[in-house]
Amino acid sequence: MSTKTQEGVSPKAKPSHRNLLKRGALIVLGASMLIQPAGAVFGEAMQEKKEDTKTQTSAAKNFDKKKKATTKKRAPKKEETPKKEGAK
Amino acid sequence: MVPPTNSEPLPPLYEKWIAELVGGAIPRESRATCDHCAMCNGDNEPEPGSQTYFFDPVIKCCTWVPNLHNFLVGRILSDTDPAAQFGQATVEKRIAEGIGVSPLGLAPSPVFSLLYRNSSESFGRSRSLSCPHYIADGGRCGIWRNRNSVCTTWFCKHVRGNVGFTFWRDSLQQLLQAVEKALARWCLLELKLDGDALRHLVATDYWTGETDTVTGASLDNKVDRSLYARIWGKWRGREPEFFGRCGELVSPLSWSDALAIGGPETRLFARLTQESYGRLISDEVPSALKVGPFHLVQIENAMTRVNTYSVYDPLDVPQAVMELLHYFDGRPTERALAAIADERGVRLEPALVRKLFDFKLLIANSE
Repeated sequence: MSTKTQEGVSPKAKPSHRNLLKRGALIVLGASMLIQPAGAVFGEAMQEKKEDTKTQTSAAKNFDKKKKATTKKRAPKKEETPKKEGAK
Repeated sequence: MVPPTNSEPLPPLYEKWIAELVGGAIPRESRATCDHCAMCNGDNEPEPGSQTYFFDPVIKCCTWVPNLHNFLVGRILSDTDPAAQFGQATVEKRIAEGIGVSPLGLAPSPVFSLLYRNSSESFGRSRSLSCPHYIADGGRCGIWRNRNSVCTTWFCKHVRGNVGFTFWRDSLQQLLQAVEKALARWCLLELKLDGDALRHLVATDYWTGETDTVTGASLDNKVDRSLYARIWGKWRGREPEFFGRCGELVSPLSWSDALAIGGPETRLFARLTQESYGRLISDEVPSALKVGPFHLVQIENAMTRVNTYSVYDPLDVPQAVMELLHYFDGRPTERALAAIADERGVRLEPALVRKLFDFKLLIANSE
C-alpha cells in the first residue's frame, strides 16, 4: 500500500515528505494500513488444526502404555518377523 | 445473566455460563466469516508459485470430527428446533454405527484420528475428513447450537490477532474442554453406571481421549461388540436414553455448579479466561515496546507480508510502517512515537500501534 491511502491526508493537498518535514506537518498512519489478507501461508498451515487439547499428563499416558505392555500381547506383524540372513 | 446481543454467539448452554464468568459482551470475531469464508479464494485458481494456502470452499474448516460429550449428545437429540433435525439424524447415525460410542459420548473413529493427525495439507481441504454434522448444502453446521468446545472457540482469523487467539484458544477452549470432560464424567456417576462398566471404561482410550489406537477391527470400522457391551453395562441398547438423561442433568446447571463439579482445573482456566477477557476488551498498550519475532513471507509492491501468531492470519504491512519498527527498541512507547514524529515526520495513530502489538509485530519490552 502506498502512502496515497494514508488516513487523514487529502491526496491533492499532500506535499512531498521533505516539505512536510520543513513545515512541521506530520503524515498520519492509521490502523487501516495493516491488512489481514484471505488465506494462510502455504507450507505451514498444515501444522495448525482443530484439536482436542490433551489434559492427560504425559506421565499418566506413559504409565498407561507400560500397563498395556504387561497385560496385552500384540500379534507380531510381518515386519517384526526375523529375516533370514546368511552366515557371516 | 443474559449475554449482550452484540456478543460473539456461543452455544446457548455455554453462553449463559460464560456471560456469568466474564460479565460482559465478547467482541465478535468479524474477520472469521463462515458465510463468506476468509480462508477461501472464491472461485479463483491460486496463482502458480503462490505462497497462500486456501481452504476448499465446499468444506471450509469443517474437516474435523468433533468429540461430542454425552450431555451435548443428549441436548442435540432433544432439541426441538426444526433446524436441528439434520444434526439429530447425523448423531443418531453415529450412535447406531457404534464407532467411538461410549457412555462418555461420541468420539471420532480411530481411523479418522489416525488419518487426521498424520496428514498434511488436509485441514480445510480434504473432503474425506469432513465432519459428519456438516450440512454441505449451504455450508452450515448441523449441531451449531450444541457444538463442542473446539468448534466454539476455533476462528481462522482474529480481529485482535494474538490477543483474540489467547482468549479463545489458549483460555476459553481449555476452560470449556475441562468443563466438558468433568461434566461427562459426573454424568456417569449421577446415572449410576455400574462398577464393572466403569472399570472397563476407564481402561479404554475413551477415558484418556487418545482414540487413535487402530486395531484390526477398528481399521475396518468395525465395533468390538464385546468391549462395547462391557462399557455400557445395563445401559446397552438404551444409549439415546442415557445421553438424553445426561443432557437433562447438565442443562439446568449454573456456572457455579459447573465450576464446583469441574474442580481446580476448571477454576484455574476460569481465572485465565477472565484475565484474557480483560485484555481482549482493553485498548491498553505496554509502556515500552520492542519488535517481536516474525516470519517474513514476501515483499511485493512496497507491502511486506508477515506471519506472527498464526499461519492462518498473516498481516500485510506497508513498507512505510516496516521502516519505523526499529524505533521500538525498548524505550518508552511515548518516546519512540516522538522520535518517529521528529525524525520521520510521521505520526502513528494509537490504533495502529495497538494493532502492531495485537499481532505481535511489537511486543512488551518485558517479554
